[in-house]
Amino acid sequence: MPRGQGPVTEGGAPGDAGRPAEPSRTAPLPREVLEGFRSGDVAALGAVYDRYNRAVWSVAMSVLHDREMAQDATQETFLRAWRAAASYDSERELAPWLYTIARRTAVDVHRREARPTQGGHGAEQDVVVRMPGIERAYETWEVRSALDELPEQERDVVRMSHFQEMTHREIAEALDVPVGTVKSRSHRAHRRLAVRLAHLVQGGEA
Amino acid sequence: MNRPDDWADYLDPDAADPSLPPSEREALDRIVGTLALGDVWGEPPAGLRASLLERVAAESAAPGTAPAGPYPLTWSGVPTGPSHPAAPGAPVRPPSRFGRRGWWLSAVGVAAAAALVAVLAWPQPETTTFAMAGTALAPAASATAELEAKSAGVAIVLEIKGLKPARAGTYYAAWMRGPAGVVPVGTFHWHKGGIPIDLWSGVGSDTYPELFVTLQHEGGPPGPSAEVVLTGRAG
Repeated sequence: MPRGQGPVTEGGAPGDAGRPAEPSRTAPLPREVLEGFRSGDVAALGAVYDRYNRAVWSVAMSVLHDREMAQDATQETFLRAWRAAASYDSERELAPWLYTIARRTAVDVHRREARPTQGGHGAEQDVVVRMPGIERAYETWEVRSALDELPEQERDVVRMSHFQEMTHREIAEALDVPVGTVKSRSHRAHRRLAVRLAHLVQGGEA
Repeated sequence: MNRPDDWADYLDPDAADPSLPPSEREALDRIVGTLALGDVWGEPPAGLRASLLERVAAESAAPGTAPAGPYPLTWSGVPTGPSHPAAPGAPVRPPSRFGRRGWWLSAVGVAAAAALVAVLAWPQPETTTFAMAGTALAPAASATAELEAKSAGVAIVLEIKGLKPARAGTYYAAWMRGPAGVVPVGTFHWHKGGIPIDLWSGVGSDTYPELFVTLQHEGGPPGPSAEVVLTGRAG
């Protein structure tokens, strides 16, 4: 299950000397927020949304591959979570509980919205609905959560490197920083990811 | 072997490829594959939060619908919403043979009538389209806004022309305004230009008919700035 561990903190690296570390976007939620959420407080739900909306969105997209359905699934996940908040044990981590709801909601939305039909005016035929992304939902949640825990500068380098397929030199030019700075940010970011995602590599061993 | 460092090198496309066992390479390849997907880089529309909180506030204000207790969980442990059991104590009598036929005929009639009503009254997608004009700050700019009501809010697509990309340190923000106030519906930079901008609103153009775009400054106040560049109105 998702491990809601906090951000990995490590020392600075050459190339970014003197530059203060940027805060991660995923500071742990305070206990009073979790208890407020459990009691149905709308403001606390807003804080929970702010903390987890990106991970929920990623799971929804990985299962549904459709922005509109992912919007429905994301909203419905938090709505279901809020409705069931009293069953959440605020002594435990919220992430595994919310992930279960997110995954199940995405499946439900897919069944509801994406059931294939025979087309034309023929009767709808029930068939097995394939969801190619479902087996990767957990990995998607974990990777997205790990990315959210990175400082923004490091996350940018990872995004440009993997998603935009840019080399370190191209990233350096785009960001207008020395290549050495990109290399140090990249190594630091990938090391944080390696530590955070160790359980996906070797059952939590690092 | 320092595994996190080796794993980091393996994950980093520009680093030297370390020697790793096949099982670790396979797991790391899956992570690399996930990092390359848009799924882990996208975000829900900006207006979805407001839409959710608005819906929750409305639900909690309605009598008997606040989350006063845990809703029943399905076998999978996922809540589905309030259940509505049949009223207890109601007498149950097996219908007679004639009664069953009569019930069946009635049911067919009701179903046919309901189907006819459903066909006639099936809601068409509610789409509103209107033009937006550039202000004195962006006289060459114009846009077409298309608003389509969805189950979770309003999808807004802006087709913009003649607007300059936001300068470094600035961005554009779209807002809807009505008698009750102003609601943010999304932000964009317009660096690429020429592509439709997808926005999302939790409120409708019936109550928030005015749509406008401002130039915002990073680190500035959260509300709309005075630098309005595009404005338009539904209806």
